[in-house]
Amino acid sequence: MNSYLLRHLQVFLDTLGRMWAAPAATLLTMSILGIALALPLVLLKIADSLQQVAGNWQGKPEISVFLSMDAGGDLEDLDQRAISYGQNLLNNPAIDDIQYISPQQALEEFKESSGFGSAVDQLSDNPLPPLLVIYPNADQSLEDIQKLVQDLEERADVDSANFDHRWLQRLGAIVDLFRFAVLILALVMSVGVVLIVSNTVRMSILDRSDEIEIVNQVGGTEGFIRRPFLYQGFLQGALGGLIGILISSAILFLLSRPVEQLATLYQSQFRIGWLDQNTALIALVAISCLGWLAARLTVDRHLRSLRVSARGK
Amino acid sequence: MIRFSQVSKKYPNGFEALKNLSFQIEQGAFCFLTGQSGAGKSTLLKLISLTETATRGQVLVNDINISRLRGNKVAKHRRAIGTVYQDHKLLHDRTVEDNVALPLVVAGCEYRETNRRVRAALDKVGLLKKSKRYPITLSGGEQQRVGIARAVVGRPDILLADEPTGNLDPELADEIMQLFFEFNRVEVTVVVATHDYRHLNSENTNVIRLVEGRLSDYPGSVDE
Repeated sequence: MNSYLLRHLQVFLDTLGRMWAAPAATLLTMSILGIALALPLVLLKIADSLQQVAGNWQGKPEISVFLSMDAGGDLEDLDQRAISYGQNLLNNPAIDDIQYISPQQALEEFKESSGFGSAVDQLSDNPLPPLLVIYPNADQSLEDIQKLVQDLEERADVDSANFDHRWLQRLGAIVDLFRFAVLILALVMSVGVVLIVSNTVRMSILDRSDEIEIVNQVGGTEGFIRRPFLYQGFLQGALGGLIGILISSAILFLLSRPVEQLATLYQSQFRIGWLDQNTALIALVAISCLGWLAARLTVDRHLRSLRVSARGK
Repeated sequence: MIRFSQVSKKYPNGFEALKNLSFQIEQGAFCFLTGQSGAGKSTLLKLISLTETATRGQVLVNDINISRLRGNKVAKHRRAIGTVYQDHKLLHDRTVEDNVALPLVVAGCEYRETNRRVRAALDKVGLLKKSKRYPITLSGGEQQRVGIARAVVGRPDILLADEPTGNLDPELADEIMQLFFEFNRVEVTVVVATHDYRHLNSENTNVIRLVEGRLSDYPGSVDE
């Protein structure tokens, strides 16, 4: 084997050995790094999941048109009239599809999901209006849809037309704000990671200052002196990152069931899910590089002090 | 060849260790550096190994003005110089052979070649059988010989020794000094800073005597 690679391998193994030799300190440091990584990872995952929900609904806009037709006691007749009304509307090229929800269907659904089942049974009359759910064509812009809503609202027989997009916009804005907050948190945590790693590297440098001095004296280059500490920083980052991924997976696992239950109550398909591989990989690479960078900054500071004495300042 | 021309060294605390010093040591010479404590012996050696740089004047080693060297060239310069310290400066968490191998390891020497040269150097100082031991288990004289083996393992042009026999009894001191004479015989320039006046009259040696950072008389005989 190439002696340069062999030397790298030796330094790598030596660094691992040193970390292994002080398991408590190593584990403590790496756990702190793991926690620093897990927090933004979990929050980012939640933000992503929320955005997915918002995105799914935004992708298929629907307009609820409540008809002002009077049942007049004859429900079947009402249904017939509503359906033909809807079919009439289908001539509009802006409309892709229409679904009819009869007052009877709506009441059943309400009974099931609201928990007011027996109270609803007390009603002598169905107070709910017939409802047409209109799906605009996919090529319609938001403005087109809003115009369509206005047109629909001005028609006779239409009580009101709702295009429920405002809360989606709000949800989107909240998710964006949330993501921004997570980003800032991640930056703060990155600074924390750099500080933690540079502190442990500084301790190692102090611990090995005799060795550094001698290596420097017998002609070791700065690269040679730097190498074990760079490995140390990188390895701490990488192992801390693995712990962070484990911690965040555990948190997401613990959250998944309660969130599912809550989402079911809201009739939502919202699920948190697992960390996706790419995010985990990017986080791992990022924290390893941060560890390396912290080590580099710290050891360079020390090397500069060695150099200063060489210049006799 | 080592040449000092009008070299002064002032430390940051204001102490002027060397004052306008000019001299020359030929390639392959054996030179004693003597004078009282604080006369500037250690500073002079540090200027040659580039542990310190001169405040004024030039230090030339093999016709290179070493104060201009930066970065990896400093490391390279130090590899061409072996240094022996009074306090040995050994790494106590490594075996004797690992200590001796250090200059070759930092130079990226191939594994088998390193092994071979470490054994040769340890054999030269008579410690081959103790190569697996840790320095702390050796006597003071043996530790100093490990330091010497480390200084010569890289086959330097120049061997510097700062009070190498300072802590040893006369018999051991003679043995150590004998080693330096042997290295000098194979054309290594040797500069030894010492208090030990018994060796100063040895054959074929020069003496640089420093008094308060100045040259006393050079090349001069020794009358103490």
